[in-house]
Amino acid sequence: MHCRKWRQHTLRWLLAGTVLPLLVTGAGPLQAQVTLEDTADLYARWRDRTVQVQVLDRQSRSRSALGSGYFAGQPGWIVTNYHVVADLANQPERHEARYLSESGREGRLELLSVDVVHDLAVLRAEGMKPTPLELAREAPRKGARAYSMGYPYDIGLTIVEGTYSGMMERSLYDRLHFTGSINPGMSGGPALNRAGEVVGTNVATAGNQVGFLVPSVFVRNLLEKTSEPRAATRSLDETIAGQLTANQSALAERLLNGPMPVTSLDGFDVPGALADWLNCWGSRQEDVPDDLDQIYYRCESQDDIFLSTTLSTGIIRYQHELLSSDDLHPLRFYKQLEDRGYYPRLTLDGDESTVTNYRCRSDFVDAPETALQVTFCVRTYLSYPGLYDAYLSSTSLVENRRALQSTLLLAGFDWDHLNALSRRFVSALSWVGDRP
Amino acid sequence: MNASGMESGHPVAATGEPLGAVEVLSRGGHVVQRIAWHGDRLRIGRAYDNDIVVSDPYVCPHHLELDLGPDGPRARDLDSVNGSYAGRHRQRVGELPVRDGLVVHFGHSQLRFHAAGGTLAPTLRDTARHGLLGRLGSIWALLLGTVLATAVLVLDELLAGVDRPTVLGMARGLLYPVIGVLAWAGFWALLNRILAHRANFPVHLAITLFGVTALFLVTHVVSAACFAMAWNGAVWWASLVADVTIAALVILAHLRFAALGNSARMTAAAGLAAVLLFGAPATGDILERNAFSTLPYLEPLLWPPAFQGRTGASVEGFFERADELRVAVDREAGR
Repeated sequence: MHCRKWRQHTLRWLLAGTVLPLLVTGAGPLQAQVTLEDTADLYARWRDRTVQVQVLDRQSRSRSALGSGYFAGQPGWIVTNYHVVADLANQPERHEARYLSESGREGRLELLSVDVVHDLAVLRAEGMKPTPLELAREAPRKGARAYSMGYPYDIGLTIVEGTYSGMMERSLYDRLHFTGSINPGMSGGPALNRAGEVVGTNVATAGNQVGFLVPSVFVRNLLEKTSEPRAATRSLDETIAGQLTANQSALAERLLNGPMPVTSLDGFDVPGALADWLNCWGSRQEDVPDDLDQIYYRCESQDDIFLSTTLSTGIIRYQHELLSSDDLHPLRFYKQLEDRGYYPRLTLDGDESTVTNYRCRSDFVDAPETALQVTFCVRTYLSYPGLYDAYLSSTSLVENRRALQSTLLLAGFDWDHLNALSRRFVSALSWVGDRP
Repeated sequence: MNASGMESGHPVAATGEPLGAVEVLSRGGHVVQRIAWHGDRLRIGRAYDNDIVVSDPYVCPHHLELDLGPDGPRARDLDSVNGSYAGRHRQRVGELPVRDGLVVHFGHSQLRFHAAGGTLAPTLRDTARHGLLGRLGSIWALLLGTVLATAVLVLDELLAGVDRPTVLGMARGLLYPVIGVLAWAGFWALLNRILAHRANFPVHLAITLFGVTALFLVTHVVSAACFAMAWNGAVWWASLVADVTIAALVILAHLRFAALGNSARMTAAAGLAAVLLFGAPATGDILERNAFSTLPYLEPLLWPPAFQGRTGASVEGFFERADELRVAVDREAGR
C-alpha cells in the first residue's frame, strides 16, 4: 500500500515502543559494543523505553490517535511521529496526550517540538524518566539485523525482527527501508540495532514486510533544537510554517535550477520527470470514448508532508493528456474537452478550518511555442501564512483535432516559488508538430 | 351640431338618432345592461314596469329616470330610499344634467352615460394578429420553427457526444427535448383555452420552437464570445442574462396569445416568470460557487482555435497578474 495512504488509513493505530529496562537499576545507557543474542533478551532490556502514546479528546475522553514513542535525548523526553500527535499540535485546546508503559505506568505528555517535514515530534513525559535510548551515529549496513518495537493495533508491546534494506530509493526525504512487519499502531516506535541504539523511527509501511523508518540523524537534529519548556517566542504554527517554507523553498530551487527534461506526446513536448523522486508513468487511456484517443502521462511526488488528518502538503503532481481524433468535427472535439474540464484532474485535501477556497483566473497565454488557454487557481493555508497551493490547467489551441491538456498541482509553497514553478511548467509546454 | 346631436357636451334630440348609450353596471363594475337612448323618458328601478330593470335589492322599484328637459337631457331621482349620487365626492343629487361620461351611483349599482359622439380611445392594435407574432399561426411558421428547432436539437445532441450519429441514437436523444417542447406548448394552449376559450396550440408550439432555437443560438453565441475574449468568469452571468431574456420574450409571446391583461402587466409577468424559472437553479449555483470546496470552481470554456478572438498574454504577464489571486486568498484568510 502507498505510504501516504497507509498513514491516512492507519493514523489511529500507531506504534508504541518499549525500552528495555536495564539489567541493573540505575545503570547508564546501553553501550554500542554490547551484543545480545536473543530477541527475548532484547525485548526484556528495552521494553520500558517504549511507551504507547495516546491522544485523547478532552471532552469525551475518547482516544483520537494511538501510536508509540521512545525515550531519547534528555531524561523524560519521548520521541514519536508528528502524525501521532498532530491532533494535539493542531488543536491543543481540544486534545491532550498521555503515555502508557508496558509495565502499566501512565502520565501526561507535553509537546515540546515538531519536525513536520520528517514526521517527528518530541514530548516530555510527566513522572517517568528512564534512561534514554542512544541514537546510532552511523547508518546500518544493508542486510543487518534490526528490531522494531511498538504497540500494533493497541494489543500490547511487540518486538519485530527484521533487516535493514538500505535507504529508500526514489524518495524525496531520506527513509530507511526496513524489511519486517511494521503494523498500524507502531508509528513513532524505535527501530534498534543489536546494540540497542536507535537507528530509525517507525513511520510507515507498504505492507508485505516493507516498512519505512525515519533515520536517527533527523531525530538528533530535532532533539538538539528542542528546549524545555517550549520556546515561547514562536507559536507552533509559526514553527511549522517556517519548516515548510524552508523545506519547500529548497525543493523549489532544486527544481528551478535543475534541467527541464521533456517528454514527447504526439506533437507536443511537455515537462517530463523533473526529479528522480517523482514517480512518473504514462499510458494510453482505455475508457475514453471511441472517437477520442488519449495518451496520458503523470508524475507525482510520493512524500507528502502530513499536517493533519484532513491536510497534507509538500505535494507536486502534474499530468498531461493528449487527446486527438481522426474525424471528429472541431466543434465536437473541443466540446468534449470542455465537458471534461468541469472536474479537476488532480485534487488536494483540506477542509474549511485549514484552507481557503480557490480563486482562479483564466486567459490565453502565448507560450514560446504554443498558444494556450490557462486557468490558474490559488488557495492559502489559514494557519500557515505565506504558504499557498496552486491548481493550474492549460489546454493547447493549435490543432483542430488534437489538444494537450496539462494540469499542475503544487501544495505548500511560498508565493514566489509557486509562481516561478508554475511559470516554468507553462513555458515548457510546446507544440513541435509532427516529426517525420 | 354634429351628426350625433351633441353640442358642447349636451346631447340634444335628433330624429332617429340615439343621444347615446345608457349602461347599468353591477357592484363589481360589469356592464349588466346597455341600451341606446333616444331622449324619451327612461325609467330605471327594480320594478318590472321600468325601461331598465335592475336586480339590486338596494334600488327602489322606481329609483330614477332620464328624460329630455327644456335645458337638455337630465337625470332625476324619484325620491328613492337610498338616493342617487354623482360627482367626485358622490353628493346626493335630486336632478342633474346628463353629459357624456356621467356616472350616477344608486343602490349598489351604477348608471353610466356615453354620448353618441363622445370621444373614444383609439383602437388598440392587436400585436398577436399583426407583424411577426401575427404570422406565427401560419403553417409556414410552424414548419420553419420545427425545422429550426430540430436542427439545433440535433446539433446539441451531436455536440454532447462523440459517437457516430445514428437515426436510432438521435431519436433517443431527441425524445426528452421533444416531450419537453410539447408539454410546454400544451401548457400554454391549456391556459389559452381556459382564459380565452381557444387553445391556439399551433401558435404556442411555434412560439416554443422558435424559443428553443433562440435559446440554443444565444447560449452558444455568448459562450463563443466569452471564449473569444477569454472572459471565462463572465460566461455564467452572461448566459444567465441571455437565458432569462429569451425566456421572458417567449413567455410574453405566449401571454399575448392567451389574451391576458394589458401589455405592461404582461411584460412584467413574463419577466418575473423568466426570472423565477431560471432564478431557482441559478441561486443554487451561486450558493455552490460560494460554498467551501477543496476543488477549484472551474468554468471550462473551449472552442476550436479559430474562435480565439485576441492574442494571448505572455507567460510572464499572465503570472504577474496572478498576484491578484494571492491578494484575494490572503484577504479571505483574514490577512
